[in-house]
Amino acid sequence: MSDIDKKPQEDSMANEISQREVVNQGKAVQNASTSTDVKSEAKPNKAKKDKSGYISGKESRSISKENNRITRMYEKRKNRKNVPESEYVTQMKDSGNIVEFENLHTYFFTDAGVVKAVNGVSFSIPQGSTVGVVGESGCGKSVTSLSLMQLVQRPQGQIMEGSEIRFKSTIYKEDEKGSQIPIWETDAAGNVRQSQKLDKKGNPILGADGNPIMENVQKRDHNDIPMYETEERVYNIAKMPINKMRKVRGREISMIFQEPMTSLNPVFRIGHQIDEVILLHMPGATKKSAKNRTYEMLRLVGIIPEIVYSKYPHELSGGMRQRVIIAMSLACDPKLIIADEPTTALDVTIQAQILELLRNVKDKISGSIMLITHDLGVIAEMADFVVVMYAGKIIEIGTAKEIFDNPHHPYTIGLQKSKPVVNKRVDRLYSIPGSVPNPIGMPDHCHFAGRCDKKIGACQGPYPGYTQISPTHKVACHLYLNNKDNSGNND
Amino acid sequence: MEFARVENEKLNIGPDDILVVSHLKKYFPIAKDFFGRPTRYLRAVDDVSFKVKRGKTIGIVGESGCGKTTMGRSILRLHDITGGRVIYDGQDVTMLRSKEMRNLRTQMQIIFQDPYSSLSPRMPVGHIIGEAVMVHKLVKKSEYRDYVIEIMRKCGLQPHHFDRYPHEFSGGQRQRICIARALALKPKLVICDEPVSALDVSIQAQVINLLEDLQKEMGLTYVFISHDLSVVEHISNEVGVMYLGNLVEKASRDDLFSNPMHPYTEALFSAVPVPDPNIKMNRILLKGDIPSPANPPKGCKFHTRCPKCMDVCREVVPKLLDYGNEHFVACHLYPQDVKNTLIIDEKEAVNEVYSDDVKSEIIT
Repeated sequence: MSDIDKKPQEDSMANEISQREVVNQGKAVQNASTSTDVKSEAKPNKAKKDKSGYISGKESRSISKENNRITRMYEKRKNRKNVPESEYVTQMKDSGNIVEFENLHTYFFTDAGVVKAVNGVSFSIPQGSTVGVVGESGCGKSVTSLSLMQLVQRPQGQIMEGSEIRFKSTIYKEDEKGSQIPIWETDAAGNVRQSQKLDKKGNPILGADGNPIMENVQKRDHNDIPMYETEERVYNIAKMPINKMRKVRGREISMIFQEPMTSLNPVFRIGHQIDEVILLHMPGATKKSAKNRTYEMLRLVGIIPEIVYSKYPHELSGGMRQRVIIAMSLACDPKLIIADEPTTALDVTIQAQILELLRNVKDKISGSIMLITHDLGVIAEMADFVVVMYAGKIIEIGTAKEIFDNPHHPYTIGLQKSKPVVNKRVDRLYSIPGSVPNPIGMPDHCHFAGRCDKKIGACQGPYPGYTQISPTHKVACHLYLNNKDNSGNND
Repeated sequence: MEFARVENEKLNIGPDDILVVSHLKKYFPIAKDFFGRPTRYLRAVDDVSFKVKRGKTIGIVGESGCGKTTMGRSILRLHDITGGRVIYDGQDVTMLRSKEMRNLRTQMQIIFQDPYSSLSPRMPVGHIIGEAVMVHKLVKKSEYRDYVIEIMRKCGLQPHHFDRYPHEFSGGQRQRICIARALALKPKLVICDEPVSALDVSIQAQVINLLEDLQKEMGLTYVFISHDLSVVEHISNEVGVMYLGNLVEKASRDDLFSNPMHPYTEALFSAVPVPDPNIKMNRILLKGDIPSPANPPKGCKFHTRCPKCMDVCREVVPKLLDYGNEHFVACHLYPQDVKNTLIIDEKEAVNEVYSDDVKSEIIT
């Protein structure tokens, strides 16, 4: 909350919410305490029941009324027609990045109160690298990725004012009429090649003077898909209108979901579903050229296309389905692939196959991957940079080496210690006590303080800022706020 | 009981063996002919044998669809088995009448995988835990509440949780309820069917520690079924690896993890991602998927994916043999002269117990 308050916004939205917070604070604190925390359970039975986070009808109505007001305002802004481009075109801070999140707040306005699923998240994804986002369920890692795709469930889920998601987009250049500019094929001398214009049957069309009409030849790739000129532009996805967003989704950012069964349509054949992506996003693609490209993509992910092209999703195993999804996500040469728990539903041997595939594929298309998972093993294997999230905030961020060799935040340390590792035996697993706090009405102090075994007095104070451990490594913890000199040492 | 005693001698059950599973088979009919007789079977569990000692833990690992869960449920007779024998504490579970079985059920319990779907949403937690206690009349009515609260306390639940409903709890807390429900009957044997798979990492460690503490306190025996090798390694004394309904390797934990012999076990171990970016694994990537158990490959069931496949593997089913130190492997790779201690005695195989409808199918 404090992050938003600091920023002078054009409207007082954030302030209003914070005021409402104060009103609900009393309820919220009780809410958090009932949320199955093992420690704080000594209160008598009866009194607990009355104040145990159940909201009276009256309160619930006032909350939903307030929610309606806010979400309607956001929706109104979203549904405007002809949004001027200046509103959502920005500049990257670092041109080496493909995506930059800055101060991202994604809230859900539920009937029980505001859930701050993502609460002030800032990080960037450099071009050509893999960024792993790790955290327990409910920590906001999936919502972060959905915000990037603008797929957060509306209207109750909203990206708040002041959030920025900058994405370096490669769009098709357009002329004054709004149509794409083709790339013409040239000969060695640099002249545009010309050929006779043909009609549908393949006969040359003759002009008025009896000579065949000549036309420029458009450059085509090896799948016979025509090529157009492109240019780079940086968009702020948080403010992009929906119709523009549709051109980015699937073409420049594609997503691999956790459940391969639910993300394929059961009533269409595999080939049809991949063709659809290509026909939709590649101008000038014909059914035949789309099929060629689909074949190429299926081969890339290790599937024999002749067999699978005309099969239905239910005829394939989990691993095969996930390969199909990957093929589909690669179909338009995306700059960024978001893999949201891509291997959680798969067995270890299949998981190893899929991770290997993702790694190879990333190099081939020279794109970036945002990998979301709760499995530290997968992160260690795949990621160059690691973002550790807890309760909607980033608590530690750094390169994979830094996070695994020299973790600083007690949560990161605990997470690593609590995972049993093959061939590394311990008598007793370390376990973090308690569980994730209730997301409604989070207090302003460190969200992990209740479960932390290195708690100090300052932890009850305001939320800690980031301490820079190394140029790429920072941590949000009171333990390191004051002793910056020796913070490089391992604890 | 004369019959059962003779059988026990044959299997040479030691006094410490609380559970002996011998040639356990469970086939599910998947196709029927005109008269409703099954014509094709899905061989979910196909000849699995092992023993568990009192107070120890056996871990069963394998990919999804390899029959781990079916095996666990068959041991408890939640499925009626097709062939083989399950002997719990000297009693053949498969031969018992339902009334006798009901008495035995207090001693064998199961913890299910999904704590969200295995708890009745309409019952308060205290009753979920205490229902079986009431049915089996383990304690007097007046002591009932105290008894349940004592169990809840042991499993890390608070007394005031007694009247709450499952939806008020988080995943880890619900799994504690499931554990409390299983332990309320003071069982000796607990089948843990993927108890931590649905939980977050930090909660996983809590539940594993709880299971270990309870084992020490109450002298429990666990059959721990999981697909997560690291968890199985942590908790088990012995580990069995299953593939397509067969046990392909079984050994003590230390033996198996330091010296995996079966190619499938090797591949499985190398596929587990290690949370350390400095280690680059020498990965054995298996090709393809696990075949369908309805139509398993001929010979060794693993030969379609095996990197070390030989000609003999395509034709002959390998037997589970002891290669010293109770390390059992079913693979043709290893020398034949070690065949001295066969787990499958040829004479015994003739006497295998089948239910009638399957018998004809197997003979033909």
